[in-house]
Amino acid sequence: MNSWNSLDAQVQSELTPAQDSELRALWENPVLHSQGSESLAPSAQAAVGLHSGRRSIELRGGVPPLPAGASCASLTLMDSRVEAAWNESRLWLDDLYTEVGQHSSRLLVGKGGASAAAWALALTEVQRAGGWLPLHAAVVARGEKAVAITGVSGAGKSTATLRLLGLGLRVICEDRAFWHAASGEVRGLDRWLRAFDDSVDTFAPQLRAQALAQRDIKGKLLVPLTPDAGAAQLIEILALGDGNVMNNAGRVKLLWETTGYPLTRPARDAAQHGVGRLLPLLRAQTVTRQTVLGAVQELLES
Amino acid sequence: MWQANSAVLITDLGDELVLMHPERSEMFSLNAAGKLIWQQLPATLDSLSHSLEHTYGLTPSQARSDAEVVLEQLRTRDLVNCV
Repeated sequence: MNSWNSLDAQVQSELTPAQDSELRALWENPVLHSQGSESLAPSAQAAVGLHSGRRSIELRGGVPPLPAGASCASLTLMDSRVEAAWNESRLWLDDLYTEVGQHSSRLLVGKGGASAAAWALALTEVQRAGGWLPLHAAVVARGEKAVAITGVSGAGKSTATLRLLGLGLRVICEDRAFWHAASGEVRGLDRWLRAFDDSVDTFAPQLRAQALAQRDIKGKLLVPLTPDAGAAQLIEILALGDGNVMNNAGRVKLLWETTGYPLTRPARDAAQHGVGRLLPLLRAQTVTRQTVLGAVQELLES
Repeated sequence: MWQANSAVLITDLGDELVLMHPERSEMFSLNAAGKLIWQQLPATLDSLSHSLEHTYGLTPSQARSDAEVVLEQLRTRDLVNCV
């Protein structure tokens, strides 16, 4: 059995070495003990898993049959289609079954294996239930303070992140962030910032020397990140836009689009709570491509 | 009996409740009176009307009319259904 850590959960894996290795590359990170977590009330510490036993995630083989009455949908993720069914705390994604719980979860995979999209959906659902809100956002930090940048595809998030990395700020992630509602801690699961050559040459040419020899499937350069260099607290979320001011409903909608929609009851309950807690951190006025760098620097330097 | 669509995502802003239909990506905001109705679901129209009448000092006919308006708005958006 292999044992590793993902966010604040202890993963116990009986998968094949190849399956286990693929998951660890995307989901493993070390335990960080942040000041924020240590200063939490006992009830919150228990939620973080500091005292009353850590959250557990079990990975092994064997998929139970789909019961009658489960909700079903065909989901598209990572350019592939996944047949999903769910019933309360149970989730079937192709040949991957997940029992989702706040403190412990089990993922059982069939002999045919599961696609990367199915694993991503299942593990994201498990982390949601454990109190970690996924954020499709870049996160940039200085010291223990972090700012998230979100926005629709093409809004300029990646370019802004590249420029901020070039300015010497720590990039916690490019777009795979998780925010812990109980402690305010934000973690990232990206190992690299991906950027085309011309973007690096234009916005942060000094980073070219750091790029790996290998590239991603789109031919982008891979600039190593240091997501686990230290714990950070999310202090604000900036949304890229045209400088407009969002009303409450618009801000709530943006957060749900940023975090994605949960399927099971434990994940939905935790995510609803998390979105409510996160909303005050979302600045009502969007930032533009021109103002985002200054806004981030001002927040992290204050 | 009126009941909430269990797939709806709820964000409580205190004096406002924001509902999101995850399949349609549509938002709907409820004020304090609407929030009162939502939080009592599942419930009958009579029960919901009674709550509005006593909470806001409405006449029985006004309370029933207000409850019907809110429920119809929610029903047309697939946020509630009547069983």
